[in-house]
Amino acid sequence: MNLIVTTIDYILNWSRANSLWPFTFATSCCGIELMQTTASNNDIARFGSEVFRNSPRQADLLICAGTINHKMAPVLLKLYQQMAEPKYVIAMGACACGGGMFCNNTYAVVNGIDKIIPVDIYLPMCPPRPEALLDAIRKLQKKIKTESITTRKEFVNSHRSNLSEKAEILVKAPDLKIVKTDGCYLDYALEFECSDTQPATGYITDYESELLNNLANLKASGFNILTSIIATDWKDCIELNYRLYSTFQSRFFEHKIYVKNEAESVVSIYPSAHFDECEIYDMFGITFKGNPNLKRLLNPKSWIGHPLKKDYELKDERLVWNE
Amino acid sequence: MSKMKLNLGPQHPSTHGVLRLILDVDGEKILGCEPVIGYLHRGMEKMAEGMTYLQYLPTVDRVDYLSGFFNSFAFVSAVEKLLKIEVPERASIIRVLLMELNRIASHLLWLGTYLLDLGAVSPFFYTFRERELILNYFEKITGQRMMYNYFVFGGVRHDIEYLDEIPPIVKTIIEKLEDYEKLLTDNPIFLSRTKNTGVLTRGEALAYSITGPNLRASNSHLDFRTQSDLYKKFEFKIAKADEGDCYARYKVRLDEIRESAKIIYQAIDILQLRFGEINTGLKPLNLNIEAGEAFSDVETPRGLTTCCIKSDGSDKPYRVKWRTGSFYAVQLLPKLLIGNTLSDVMAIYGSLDVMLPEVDR
Amino acid sequence: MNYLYCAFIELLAKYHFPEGLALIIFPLLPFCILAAGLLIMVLFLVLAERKILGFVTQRKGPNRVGYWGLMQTVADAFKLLCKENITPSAADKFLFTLAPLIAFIPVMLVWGILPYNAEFDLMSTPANLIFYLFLAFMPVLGIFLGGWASNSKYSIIGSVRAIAQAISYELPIAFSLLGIVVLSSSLNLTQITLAQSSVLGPARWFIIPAFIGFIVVFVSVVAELNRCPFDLPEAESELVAGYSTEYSGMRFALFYITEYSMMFANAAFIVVLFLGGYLSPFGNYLSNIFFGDSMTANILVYFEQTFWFLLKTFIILFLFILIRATYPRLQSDKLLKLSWTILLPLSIVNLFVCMLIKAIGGAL
Repeated sequence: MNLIVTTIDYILNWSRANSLWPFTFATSCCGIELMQTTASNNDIARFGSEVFRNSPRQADLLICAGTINHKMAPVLLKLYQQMAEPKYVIAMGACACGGGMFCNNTYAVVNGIDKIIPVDIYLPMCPPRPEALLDAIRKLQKKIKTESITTRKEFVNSHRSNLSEKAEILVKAPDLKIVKTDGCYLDYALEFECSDTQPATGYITDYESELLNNLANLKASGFNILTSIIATDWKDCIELNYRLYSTFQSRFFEHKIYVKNEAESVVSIYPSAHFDECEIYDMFGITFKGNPNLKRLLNPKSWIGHPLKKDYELKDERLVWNE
Repeated sequence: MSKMKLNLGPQHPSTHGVLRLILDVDGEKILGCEPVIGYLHRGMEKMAEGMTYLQYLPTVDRVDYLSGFFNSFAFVSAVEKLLKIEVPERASIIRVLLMELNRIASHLLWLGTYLLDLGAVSPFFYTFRERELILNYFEKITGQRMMYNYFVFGGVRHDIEYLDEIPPIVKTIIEKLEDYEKLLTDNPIFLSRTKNTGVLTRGEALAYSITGPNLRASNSHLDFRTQSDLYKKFEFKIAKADEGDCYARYKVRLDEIRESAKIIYQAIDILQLRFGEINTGLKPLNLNIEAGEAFSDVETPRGLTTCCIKSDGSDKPYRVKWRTGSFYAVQLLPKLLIGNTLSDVMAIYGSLDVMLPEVDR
Repeated sequence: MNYLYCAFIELLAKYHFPEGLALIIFPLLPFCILAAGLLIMVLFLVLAERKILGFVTQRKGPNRVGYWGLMQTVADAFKLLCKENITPSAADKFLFTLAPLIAFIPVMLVWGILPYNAEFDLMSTPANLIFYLFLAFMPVLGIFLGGWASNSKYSIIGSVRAIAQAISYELPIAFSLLGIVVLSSSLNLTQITLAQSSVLGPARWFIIPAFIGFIVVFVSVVAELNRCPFDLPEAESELVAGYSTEYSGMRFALFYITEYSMMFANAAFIVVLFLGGYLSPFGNYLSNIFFGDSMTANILVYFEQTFWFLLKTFIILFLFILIRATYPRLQSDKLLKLSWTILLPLSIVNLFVCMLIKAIGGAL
C-alpha cells in the first residue's frame, strides 16, 4: 500500500513541480522583473514555467508581483479562488510580502498579501532580481516534492483555513457614503503669479471675473495645455493651482484659487481637467460644479474620508471596500 | 451577440498592470469606454507628508519604475530649487547621461510589450535582451537594476565609472534597432494594425494635456528637454511625426532612441575630458528648507512629469504632487477607442505607453 | 496480402504463435499504432514548438525535465490530468463537458484518413477528401460550443470569432482543392498521392501547377488552426484565453491536444495534396536503389514512405512554428476581408489554371 502511495506521490509531485504554469499577474515593479525572468537572459522556460496562462483556471502558480492595495485586494482574492487546485502562491517583492516601502505613512496598501491569500514562498526584495525569482521557483518545486496525496486534504485545509473568513470580511465591507458638509461657498482669492521671472503682462486682460473666464482668456491667449491642477490643503482653505503651459510662448503660468469645498469645473475649457478634478474630489473632497461625471478616482467607492486632507488619520487596517 | 459590457481588467494580460476598462461592445465594435484606475494607488503623495525629504528620496523611483532616474531627478531638482543650490556641472551631465540611457531602456521595453500586445512573441525577447545590457550597466553604477536612488540633493551619490562600456552598448542597441525595423516597418500585418489606427490630432492631444512622444507623433515640437538648462550643451533633434496614429507613435519612439544615443555620446565626451565635483557635499540629514514651493518639469519617456513640492519650513514636505504623463493618456482612451474594434483596443492602448504606477501613484 | 503482412506472420511463426492470431491482430495493429502515435506526436510537437520558439528568441527552452527537457510535456500532461476540473456555476454543464469531446474525437478520425504509406490508409473510401474536409471542420464546432457553454464574455467573443473565421476560410480551401481534384481526377487521398508520382521526383508534385492553390491552402489552414497570425479566437492579449477561458484541467488539455493534433493533421494534408504525400523526393525509393527488388527492400519501402511523409510534414510544421514566432496578429475585420477579397478570388484563379493545365496535358 505504501509503495503504491509513494509511487503515485512521486509521479504526481514530479509532474506538478516541473510544470508550474504561472498566471500573468503583475501589478507593479516586480512585474517588470518577472518579464525579465521570462526573457532571453534568464529564461524561466528552462524550468518549464514559460507557459504563462492568462486565465486563472489554467494556471498553477500565482506569482503576485507587486504592490496590492485595498482596491486590488478583492480582485486578488477572486482570482485566487478562481484558480484550480493544486495552486501555489509566490509573494514576489517586499510589497507583496509585507508592504515593503509602502507599509508606513500610507493608507492605501495592504501590508502583505498573506492577509488575503495563503502564500507558499516569500521573496522579499525591492524588486527581486530575476535570479532570485528563479530560486524561488526552485524552492517551490522542492516544497511540492514533499507533498503527499494522503495528507493533501489536511494540507489544503490547514493552508487555507482562514480564507473563507477573510473572504467574508471583504464581501461584507460596509458601503459607507461620503459625508457631505453643508455650507459650501465659493471663495475665490484670485491671485496671478507667474513661474520663473518672466512677467505675465500683455496676456491677461480680465482680472476681476471668475475662474472660468480667466482660463478661457488664458487659453485664447495661447496657454493651450492645462498641465495639472495642484491642490493643497492649507487647513483653513484648499488651494487649487491651475498650472497652464503655452506651446507658443514655451512657458508655464499658474492660476491659483482658494476654495472651501466647492469649485467650478473647467472641463468645458480644458477637457484634461476631468481626471484632475475627480482626483481632487477623491483626495480633498471638493465638489466641482459642472463636471459631468465626478467620482472617486483612485480610492474605492466606499472609501471613508479624503486622504490628502491634513486632518485625515492614517489607520493600519482599513479593509473597507465594495466595488 | 447583442450589446454587452465587457470588463477588461484589472487583471488582463495587456493592460500592463492593473488598469480596468469597462467597455460597451456591440459584437466587436466599441460603443463606450470608461477607464477605472486606482488599482495600484499607493498613496505616494500622502507618504511624503509623513517622511523627511531624505526618507522620501528612495521611494520616488517607484513613481514610474521604468524611468526611475527621471522621477528621482524631478524630485531632487525640486528640492534643489527649494534649497537654492547649484548642481556641479559634472553631476548634471552624469544625470543627463543616465536619464537618456534610461529613456532608451524604457522605450525598448515599450517596443517589446507593444508587439506582445499585437500578438508578436519574438520582439519582446529581443528588446529585453538589449534592455538587459543597460540594466547591467546601471547595476554597476548604482547597485540596483531598476530603483537606483543615485541622485542626491546637490548632485549624484558618487562619481560615474566604466564610461567606456557605454558606447558599445549604445552601438549594439542602435544596430539591433535596424533589425527590429526590418522585422516590423515593412511587415504588412504590423502596418495594417498600426497605420490609421487611433489617430490623435494635435488639437485633441493638447486639449487632453498629452505630452511626450504621444504629442510629438501628432505634429508637435513640444519637448521639455529643449527648455531645461540641463540639455543646452547637447545637440539633438526632436523626433516628430505628423500622422498621429499608432505607427507615428512607434516611429517617434524609435527615433527618440537614436537621438538619445547622440546625447549619450556627447555626454561621454564631456565626462571623459572634464572632471570636477559631483555633488555639493550637502548633509542631507538636516536640510534647511525655507517655506515655499518649487516645480521641476522633466521630459520623461512618457511625457511631462512635474514634481511640485510645497514646504512649510519643517523637515518634511508639506505637500508633494506628481504630475505624470500617463495619467492624462488614460483619460484620452475613451476618445480614441470608441468606434474601433476590440482588436484595436490593444493596438491603441499599447501605443500610448501608459504606465499604471505613474497613473495611480 | 502484402509484404508487411507476410513479414508479420513470419515474425509470429518464429515465436510459435498460431497463424490465425495474425488475422485478428494485424487489422487492429494500425489503430493502436495510430492512437499511441497521436498522443506521442502531440506531446513532442508541443515540446518542439516550445523549443523552436526558444531558439528563435535566443533561449534554451525547457531543459530540466528529462534529458534535454524531453519529458517536459509529459509532466505537463500528467499535471493537467490530475488538476481540478472547474465547471463555472453559470455554465451550461452538459455542453461544457461535451464540447472538448466534440472537438477531440474527430481528430482521431482525421488521423485515420491520411495515407501514411502505400498500405497504411485505414479509411480509404473513394471520396475521403470530402470526409476529411468535414471532419477537419468539426473541432471548430467544439470550440464554438465550448465558448458558448462557458457563459463568459471573453469565451463567447472567442467562439464567435472562431466560427466566423472557420466559415470564411473553409471556402478558399474547398475551391483550391477543386484544382487538385481536376488535376488528379480523384477524390481519394491515396489516388491523389499516386497521381503525383514520377521518376523525376518532385516534377509532378501538384505544388508546381497549383502553386497559387498551395499558398491559399497554406494560409487558410493556418487560419483554420487558429494559429498566429490568425489566432484571434484565443488572442491572448485581447481575450485573455479566448474560448478556453473558463476551462481547466483535463478539459482544457483536450482542447490543447485537439489544437496540436489538428496542426499535425493539416500539415500532413498539405503534404498529401501538394508535396507528393509519401512519395520519395528522388523519384525512386532509396531502399529499392540499395536493396533492389528483394523482400527486405519491399518491407523497408513502407518505412521509407512513412519517413518521407513525416519529414515533409515536419517541414510544414516548422514553417507554422516559424510564422508564429515572427508575425503579429491580424485584426478581426481585416482577417475576414483577407479571406473574401484575396484568398477566395485567388483560389478560383487557381482552379482555372489547373483546368487549363489539365486540358493542355490531355491534348498533348
